[in-house]
Amino acid sequence: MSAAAPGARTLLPRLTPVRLAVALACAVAAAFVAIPLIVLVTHTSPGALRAALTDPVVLDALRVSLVTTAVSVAVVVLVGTPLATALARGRFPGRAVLDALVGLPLVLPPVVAGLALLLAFSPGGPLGQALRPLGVHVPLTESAVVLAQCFVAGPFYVYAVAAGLSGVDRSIEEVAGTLRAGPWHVFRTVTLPLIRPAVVYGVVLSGARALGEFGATITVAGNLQGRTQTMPTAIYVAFERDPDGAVALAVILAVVSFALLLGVRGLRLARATG
Amino acid sequence: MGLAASLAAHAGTLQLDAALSAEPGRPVALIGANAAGKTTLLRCLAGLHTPDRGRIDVDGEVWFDSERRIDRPAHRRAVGVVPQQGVLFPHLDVEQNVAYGLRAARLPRAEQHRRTGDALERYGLVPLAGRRTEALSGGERQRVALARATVLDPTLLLLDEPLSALDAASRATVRGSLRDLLRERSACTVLVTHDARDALELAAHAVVLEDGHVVQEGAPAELAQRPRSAPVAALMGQNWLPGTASDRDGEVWTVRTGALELRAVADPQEPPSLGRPAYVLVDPRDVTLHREHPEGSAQNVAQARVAGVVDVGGPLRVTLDSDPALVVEITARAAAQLGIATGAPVWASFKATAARVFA
Repeated sequence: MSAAAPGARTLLPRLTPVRLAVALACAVAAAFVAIPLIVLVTHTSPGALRAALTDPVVLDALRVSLVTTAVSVAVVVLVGTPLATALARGRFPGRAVLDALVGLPLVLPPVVAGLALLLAFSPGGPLGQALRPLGVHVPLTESAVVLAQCFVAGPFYVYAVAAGLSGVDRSIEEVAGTLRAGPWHVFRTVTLPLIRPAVVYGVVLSGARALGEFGATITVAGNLQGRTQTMPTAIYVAFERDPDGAVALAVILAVVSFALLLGVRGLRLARATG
Repeated sequence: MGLAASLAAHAGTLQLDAALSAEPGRPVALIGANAAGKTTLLRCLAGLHTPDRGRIDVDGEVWFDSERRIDRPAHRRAVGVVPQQGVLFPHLDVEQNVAYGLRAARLPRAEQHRRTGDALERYGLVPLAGRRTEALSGGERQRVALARATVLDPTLLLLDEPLSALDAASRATVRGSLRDLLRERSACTVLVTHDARDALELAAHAVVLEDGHVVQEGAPAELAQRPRSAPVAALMGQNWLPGTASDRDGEVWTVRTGALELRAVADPQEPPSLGRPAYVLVDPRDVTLHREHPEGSAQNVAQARVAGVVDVGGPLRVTLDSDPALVVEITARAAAQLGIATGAPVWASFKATAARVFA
């Protein structure tokens, strides 16, 4: 029936070469991420998971991971938002250099980042010496975990927000400025709502990176249970003596990460429709 | 009382150096071609662009003074701005857009509510109050932008091409309501436009900018009748035809211009001299179009084809392919009766007394 054909087409998009290529790419990507994770899950047993979830070492690592990640994201947002504003809008000498500097942790191997932080914050290092009179000692503490996470996760937030800011039409902010709104009020009531998707995206990316951070953390913060041992470092240690336990830990970390990503996504959808 | 500004500023390659004053209730139109400096001047008044030097004084308050190093930021100036295309807040609905300034000024809740309601009512926005702005038509957006800019009763209202985003049909209506609104307001108003009709209908005074400088100012009708340069004449929508005064018969002069020989009466203040360059000024409304060679008293008759028709809201502007090109204004009804369309053959005529010749 030729009359039914157009209606049927709107239900199922016609398969063009472009659509086929897109679908193929999606399938490859999904499989690439999902298959190893599924293998991971099938390698563990409910018993092993239960054992891991009652293990105080695991619970400590989970707590340290979640708390340090939350603190890191807060620090990254507080410092990263003004920084992103300067990068996206500022016109000052050295802007390009600052921009490259911000992105450097993205290409640096995390172990190198950890090493650099360790040297800088060790009692003999310049920052360590500066902090000594205040009685602050960073290496091998919770602060070191946060430091490492901020270092590697910060760029994700800064770049996301800077990209969002450069997409904002300045004339909208200017109009707000002519309506008795000072710069801070304009930022809060106009700029921030307009870049909200970029901010959410930046928080998700940097939070995920902080939660999974390993190399820099173990170098500068060590691996002390209940203080600096995070899920990734706990998995690494477990892997050396108890591979099955390590797999159970990995599954827990994957599930927690996935839940957090989905949760933020849901929050974003609720905001967009609400 | 009123606005007194005198400033120099630069933006890109533009060097602006202009003085401008406005009295409450007497809107001033800033006219000029693109990049003449109109918008830059407006931005300086609003506090969105910092002049290099000069002074801006509004109702006795100094908003800018380079010598005394005074530069009030935009949010400390009692200004209302209607930008080109409206520029509404996309994340707020119509009511929130209108109320934005009241909220930013931290007025008491009850007063915010009352003034927002008044503004929505005055601009016919009550049925749109809860709408998202992206769903609005051009005319509706313009009304929201006006309501938002005037809700705080600014002492200086600045409008940048307030009608340019509208289609021809709504432009005439919005122009009408804007005129009533500006006449009612006791504040100073400066509006930027490149359309002579906006200036003629909305403004009590017009200032023509060219390359950042004021080249002529006065009542809009006066500018249309006595433009002092071809650009001003063109901006005011007049026919300004340069030629040579070739003959004289009593008070009627003959001027050769392009392929035409026009009869015109001499301007009493700047009469032409024989054999010298002269300009003929003809109001487009005084030119009549015909389908066939007209019989009558008009001494100027030219055959041509229609080169283009522009609808700016109100009468149509018809351009002819004569040499020099003539612009004619006729009603849409007359255009329909004559079958006016691009390429259509027509005869144009105007009386010698409708044409003035200047030296």
